[in-house]
Amino acid sequence: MDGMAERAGVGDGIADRPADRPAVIEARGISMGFGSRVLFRDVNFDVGRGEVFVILGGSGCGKSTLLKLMIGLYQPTAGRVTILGGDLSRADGEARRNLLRQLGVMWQSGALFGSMTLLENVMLPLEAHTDLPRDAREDVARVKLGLVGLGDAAGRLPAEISGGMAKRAGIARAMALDPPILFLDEPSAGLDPVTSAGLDELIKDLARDLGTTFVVVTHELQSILAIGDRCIMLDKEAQGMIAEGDPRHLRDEPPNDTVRRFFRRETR
Amino acid sequence: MSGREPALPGREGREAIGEGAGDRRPGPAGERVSTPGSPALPPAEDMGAGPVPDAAPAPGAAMDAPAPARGGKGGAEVRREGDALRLSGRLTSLTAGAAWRPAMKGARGARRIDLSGLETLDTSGAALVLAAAGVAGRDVPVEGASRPVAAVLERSRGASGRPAAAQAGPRMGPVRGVGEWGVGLWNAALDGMAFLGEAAATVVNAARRPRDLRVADLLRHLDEAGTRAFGLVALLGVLIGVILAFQSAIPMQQYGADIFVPRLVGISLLRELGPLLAGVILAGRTGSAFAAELGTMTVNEEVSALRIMGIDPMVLLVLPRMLAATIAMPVLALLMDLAGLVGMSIVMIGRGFPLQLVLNQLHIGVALGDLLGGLGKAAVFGLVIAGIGCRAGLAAGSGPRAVGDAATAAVVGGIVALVLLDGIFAVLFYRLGW
Repeated sequence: MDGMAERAGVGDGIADRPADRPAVIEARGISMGFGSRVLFRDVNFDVGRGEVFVILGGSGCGKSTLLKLMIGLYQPTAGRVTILGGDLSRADGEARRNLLRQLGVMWQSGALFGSMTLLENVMLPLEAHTDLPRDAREDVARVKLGLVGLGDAAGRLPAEISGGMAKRAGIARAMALDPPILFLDEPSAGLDPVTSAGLDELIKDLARDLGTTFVVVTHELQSILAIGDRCIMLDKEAQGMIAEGDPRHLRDEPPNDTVRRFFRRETR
Repeated sequence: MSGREPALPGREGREAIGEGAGDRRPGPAGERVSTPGSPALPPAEDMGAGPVPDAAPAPGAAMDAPAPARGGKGGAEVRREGDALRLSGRLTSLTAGAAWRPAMKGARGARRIDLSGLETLDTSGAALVLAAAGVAGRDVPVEGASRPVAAVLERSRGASGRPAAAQAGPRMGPVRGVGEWGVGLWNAALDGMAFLGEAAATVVNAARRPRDLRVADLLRHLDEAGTRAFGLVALLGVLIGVILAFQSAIPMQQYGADIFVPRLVGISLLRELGPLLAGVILAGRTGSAFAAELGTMTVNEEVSALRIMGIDPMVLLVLPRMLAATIAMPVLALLMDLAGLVGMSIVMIGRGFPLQLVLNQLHIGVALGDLLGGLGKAAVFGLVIAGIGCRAGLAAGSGPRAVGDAATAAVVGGIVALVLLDGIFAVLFYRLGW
């Protein structure tokens, strides 16, 4: 497949962002690979404040890797990602700590600490980053768990809850410090449709009520269409970004065959 | 796994706010609403909707500004004005800590809570407002909130109101293979040195700020590495003492020197075998457990999650384990020494030597320095074995196999390091004339 031809929808390579939303994340010319295997090349995009920005694509195209690049866990082989003007992969000391306070991450597996209850999991960032007294930390953590519908499960251990609850608890912990940017890695994967729809609704509500910016990695079509303000699509064969824009627009007017097949669930 | 999941918060309360807040920008700060202590806010229509200026302070607006100093400029202000508790400024997760106690104090006896001066409220700040309202009393009205503040407050009220096949790699030629192996070895050595440096810095920082150490974790690891190993150490100690005494007594008897067996076994145990064998037990039992536990956490991305939360895994995970092993090892070595001497005494008594004679021989042949030197070595062994175990766990790759590899690396690395260190100590003690 001709990778360049597949990039028909990408334009100048920087995904269009509404002018009234200042960029909080900027990715410029980023490339990534492991050893001799290239995942993607020359990816450019901006994420505007308050947007629900979706990174989509098939399995193995590098969606989760791109998320880990954004939060500074990996260094790109080329290019740069800045969050609120700072580069997490290069920042250190207090600058890094300040940047980390501005973001929360919900991991694909939930990444809850198994020896702690859900309440203690949510209290942990509060303990590390605030001077709230213990009873206040508990109050705040209960509110966060209540926001994701887990008020009743505060005293339960991660091993005692379902996958959907673990994902929601992961979101509650990511929200512990009310960060302006939340990264969600496959929030709907493996969930039943009702729980998945509930999560989508929660994301939309938080973006609306709290002005939170969401960067969501997913390949769940219904979620993409339900929550996404804007998206980019990565492709394994093209080794890069092949489309950008409003997901509903991409569904209705796909710029290339790969996007069409993705949105219409066609194999060829 | 539980069968049923609690539902996400219902939309009933949100609808009241959400009607007018359909756009993503909260309303202008100038619109004030009264939020009664009852669970529901007036519908959005009652609040009045209007154009939303770009400059409207949004709850998420903190994102484009540096984090405000806690309780300082850009923070929250708590004032008691007559019968009103007045909260103003930016009440967020970063400022709520300083404001919490004054707010709870000011809420006692307040007849209303005034939020008209509040510019920004996040859900942590909302928890403070709700807690203050709880202290003031059920019927105390919360009033004057701007529309975005009221939206966040209402959402938080609803929340708090709920009961509580691996890809084949490229084929490598033999030369390239050797090169890869060498580079890998070099990188592993560099990583090991980096870990050593990090661990040293963590220990120094912990000595300067002891409250960073989680005492509960330390006690748990002391129990796991120490008290739970007592039975095994005592059993092996007695058996080693029996074996050493038998194996030495038979040839020494030919020269009529079997009376000196207590001295031989005593010195061997206290100076060398006690710490060494206790170290082997620690490496096999605790070092591997540390590696497996931390390896699982690494595989499950828990360690990455800690890093992203700005919490140093060295402080939270490694320091308590290293400290626990350093404290537990001398105790285990002492127990091994004593158990070994008991085993030796049993053999000697069985061969017709009275206990008093055995004790006299020990008293003559063994010095306090032998015991203390051995215990000092044991402490260092504990530190190194725990460090190697933790390092193996934190360096684990991905997938279930990574945990097994980490445990293996911890045991092998721990025992090799143990023998190397013992050799270094032997030379050092010889040079120092101990």
